[in-house]
Amino acid sequence: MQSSIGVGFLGAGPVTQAIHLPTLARLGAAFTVRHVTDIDADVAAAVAGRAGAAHSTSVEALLDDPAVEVVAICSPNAFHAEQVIAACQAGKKAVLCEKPLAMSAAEAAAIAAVSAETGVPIFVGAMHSFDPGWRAAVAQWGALPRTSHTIRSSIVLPPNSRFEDVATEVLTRQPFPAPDYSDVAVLPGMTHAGVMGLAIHDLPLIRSLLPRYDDLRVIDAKFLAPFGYRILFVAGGKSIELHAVMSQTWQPDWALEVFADDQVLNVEFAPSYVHAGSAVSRLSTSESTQVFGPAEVNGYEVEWRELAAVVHGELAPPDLSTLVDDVRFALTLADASADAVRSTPSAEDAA
Amino acid sequence: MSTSSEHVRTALATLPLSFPDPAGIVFVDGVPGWPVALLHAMGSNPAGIVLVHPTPVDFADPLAMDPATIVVVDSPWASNPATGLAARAFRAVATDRSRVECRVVVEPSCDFSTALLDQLVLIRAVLGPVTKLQVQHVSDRTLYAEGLTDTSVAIDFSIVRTTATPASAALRLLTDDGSVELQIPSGDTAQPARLITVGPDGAVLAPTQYEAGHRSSLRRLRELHAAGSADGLADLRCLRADVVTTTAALGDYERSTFR
Repeated sequence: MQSSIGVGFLGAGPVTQAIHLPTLARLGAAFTVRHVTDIDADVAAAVAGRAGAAHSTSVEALLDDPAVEVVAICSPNAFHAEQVIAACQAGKKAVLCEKPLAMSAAEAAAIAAVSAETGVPIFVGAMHSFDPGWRAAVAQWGALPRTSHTIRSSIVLPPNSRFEDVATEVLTRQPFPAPDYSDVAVLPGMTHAGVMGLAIHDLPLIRSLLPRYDDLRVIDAKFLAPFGYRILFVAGGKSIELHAVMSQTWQPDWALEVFADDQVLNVEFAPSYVHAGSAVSRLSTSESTQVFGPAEVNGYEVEWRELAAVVHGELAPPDLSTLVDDVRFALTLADASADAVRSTPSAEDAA
Repeated sequence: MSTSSEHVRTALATLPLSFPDPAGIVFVDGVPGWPVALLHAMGSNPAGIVLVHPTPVDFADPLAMDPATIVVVDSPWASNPATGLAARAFRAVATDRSRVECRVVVEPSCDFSTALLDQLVLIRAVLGPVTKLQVQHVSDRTLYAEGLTDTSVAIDFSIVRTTATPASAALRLLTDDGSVELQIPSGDTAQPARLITVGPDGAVLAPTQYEAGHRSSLRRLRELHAAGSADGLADLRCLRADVVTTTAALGDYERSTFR
C-alpha cells in the first residue's frame, strides 16, 4: 500500500474549502492535508482544523514543514508564480498551482527555468483539461484540431457563493469590490481579469485546437456588466468567440463549441466549485452524434489522482512547456483584449 | 427551384380548406433576380404571393405596385410559429442595456449575405428592426456582426457554416436574474422551436408548436387575405429596410478590408 501524500495549502479561501478539501476527502487515504497557510490566522486555523492539519500565516512555515510533500497554491493570482518557484526550490515532490500559473511572460519563464533546474513536477489546476468528458471527446475527435475553423466558449454563471455553499460551509469570503467606473483603467482591468480568471478555464482547451497563436489578433472586446466579456479574436487561422456573464441567475450554462466543416463538438461543463461529475461532450457529424459522459469523476479528482501517480512514479509529469505556453496564450489574449477595451471610446466620448 | 421553395409549395397541401384553389397562390423563389419575378407575379393579379427565402438584392418597383396584392415573405427563422410568443417574451425583458446573441448555423452553400438578412428578419420579428449594423469579421466559414435595434437593444450576430449539424438559429437574451432563449430548427420540417424563459422561480418552456415555418407563412397569408389587409406590401417594405441595412454593412466591411 502506498503512503498517503502530505499536502499543504497556500491560501485557505473558497477554492481550498469548496473544491480541494472535498475532493481530497473523496480520494480517501491517497492524500492527507498536513498544513494550511493563510494571511488570516483565524481562517488558516479553522480550515486546518477541519483536516486536523497544522496552520500558519507564512509561506516559509509551510515550505519548511517536512510533512508537506505537495504544495497546493490557492492564493490570489498575483502570488502564484513566486510561490510555485519557492515550492520548487524547497524541494517538494510536486506543486499544484491553481490557474493561472503566472501573470506575466517573465514569471512563466522563471517558472520554466526553476522547474527545469529542480525537476519538481508542476500541475496547473485547469480542471477542464482533466475532465473525463472532455478527454473522451479528444480521444475520438480525429482531425478536429486541424479541420476546426470556429470556436466558441460561453460561460453564464450565478454568483460563486451559490455553488460554494453547496460544496462546503465556507468560513469567510472576500467581498467583491465595487468598481469605480469613472476610472478609465477599470474596464480594461476587469476584462483582463475576466480572461485570466474565467476564460482561463477553457483557454488550454482552445489552444489545443490552434496550430499557432503568435498571430493572435483581437477583433473586438467588450466588458459586459456586471461582470463578463465578449471577445472576438482570430489565431492560427481560426475564428474564436469568448463570451461570459456572471449575474444573479440561478441557471449556469457553460459550453464550449468547436466547428469544422463536417464535425461539431459541443461540451457542457458543470460550474466551478460543484462536484457534479464530468462534462458531457457531443461529437456530431451529419450522420450521427457520439455522447461522452457524464462520468462520476470530475476534473478536480482526475488532476489530484494524476498528481498522486506522478509522485509515486507511475506517470510522467505534465509537460511544463505546454503549461507555460498555455499561460502565455492566456496573457497574450488578456493583454490584447484589455488594449481593445481601452481603445474603445466610451459612450460619452463618442457623443 | 430551391429546397425551401419546394417545401413551401408542398406545405400548401396541408391547408386544403384555407386554400381551396391553390393555383391562386404564386410562389416566387428568392434567388438573385427575384424582384423581376415578383413584379411579374404581381402583375398577374394573384390571390397572394409568397416570396420564399429572398436573397438581399435591392428593389423598389414592387413597392410601387397595388398594395391590395398581399406578399408574404417566407424566411427560414422568422416564419417559425414560435416567433409570436418569442416576441412577447423578449420584448417583456429587453431594455436599452440588453445584449441579444443571434447565432445561426447554416449549410456551407449558404451565402453570408442571405444568412445575415435572415437574421435581421428574425430580429425584426422578435424585437424590432435592426437600424445599425456593423460586420466585424468574415472568414470562409464564419461571420460576426454587431447591431442595434430601433429600441437600442444590442445584437451580437454570428454565422457558422458546417454540414455536421442541421441549420438552426438561436437567440438568447441574458437578464439580471435569468434569460430568454429561442432555438429554431430548420424551417423545412415541423420540428418545433423551443422558447425557454428563465426567471427567479424557474424555467418555463413555452408550448411547442409542431408546424413548419412555411405552413405558418401560408396561414399568415390566409389571415391577411381574410382580414382584407389594406397594406399587402408591409412585409416587402420591412424586407427592403433589412436588405438595405444588410448590404450597407457588408459593403462597409468589404471597403474597410481593402483599404
